[in-house]
Amino acid sequence: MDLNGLLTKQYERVWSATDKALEGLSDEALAWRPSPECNSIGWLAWHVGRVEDRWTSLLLGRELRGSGFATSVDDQWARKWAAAMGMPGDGGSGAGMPPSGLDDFPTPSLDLLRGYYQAVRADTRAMLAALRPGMLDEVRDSLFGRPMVLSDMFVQVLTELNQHTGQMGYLKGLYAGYQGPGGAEFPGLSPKP
Amino acid sequence: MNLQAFVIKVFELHRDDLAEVIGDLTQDEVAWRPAPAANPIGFLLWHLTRVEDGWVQRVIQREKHLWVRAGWAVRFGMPEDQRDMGFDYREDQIRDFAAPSLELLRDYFDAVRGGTLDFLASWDPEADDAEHRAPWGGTVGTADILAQLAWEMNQHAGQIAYLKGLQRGLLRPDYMGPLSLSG
Repeated sequence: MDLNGLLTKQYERVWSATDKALEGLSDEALAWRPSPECNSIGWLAWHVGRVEDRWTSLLLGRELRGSGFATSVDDQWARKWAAAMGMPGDGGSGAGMPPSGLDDFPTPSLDLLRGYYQAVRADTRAMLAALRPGMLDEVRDSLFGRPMVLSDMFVQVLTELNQHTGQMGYLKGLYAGYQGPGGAEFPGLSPKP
Repeated sequence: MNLQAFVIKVFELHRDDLAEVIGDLTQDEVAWRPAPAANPIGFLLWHLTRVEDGWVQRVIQREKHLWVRAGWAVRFGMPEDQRDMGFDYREDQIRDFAAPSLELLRDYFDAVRGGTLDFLASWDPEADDAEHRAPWGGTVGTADILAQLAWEMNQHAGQIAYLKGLQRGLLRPDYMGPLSLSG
């Protein structure tokens, strides 16, 4: 396996963990929060889509607007999905959203989330397919308002996305209660059922 | 950047991010659970370290777990059982798990992660064609194990951070991800 192969596998793990966490959730379960200052599964599901969309679009070289944390890119969100979900089509990913914003958050339906994921994941696959040896050492503008080495952007994005999928899984268990010993999960490794 | 350097960076970032999240926890916060059958931070820290110990020491390097080989089970006052890594717990086992002290958890984690980074420092992905015995049957390569491990480690790190936020409320409104604030 080379580094490109690893990146692909890690994105696929994020996707399968996200899909599995969302499987079978009611609208109520999606919007449920264990405390007023904590995120719901639905919020996290929206946020992981936003994070992947923004970085992938940036890495595909789509137009940057503004600079720094408020940087917006020409992403799937701005193109279609913000309007579909009834939210502003700006560069916001939800980072730093105050509890009042969580109270007012219009939790998207599973269908909308899945549609958004489908568009974003197709972009991510195209972005990964376009990576060439040596590109990962290039320094480029990042969404953090400073240049970053491309490989560091992947470390950052995959770490963050994996953390959020872990949170979604935990919240699902917290909401639904103990479901029995589910067995260890080895996405990308174990034989398909 | 090559695969080895990338994997090292992922494990270093995970270590540093986790250290920052757990650094100022009280023992009550380590032991707290949001529901009787939900895992506390203390379980998640123990479990993620047990899992890494198993993969890197036993499966990849064919050594005994540090858990038994370096005396950690004794220090934790738990059975010297390599098989118990916290998987497949029954509801009563989850309820009855007594969170170890944060200091002990951190020491065990540092020992295990140190061992992992020692292994990675001399790991040459291109020369490594080893096939390791997989717990689900069949075999698996080293790079695949490390990818799996990095995925699971960060899932648990995210859960630990969430559990901290659930107890303390919103802590860092400026937080944009683990690499956002540093070079």
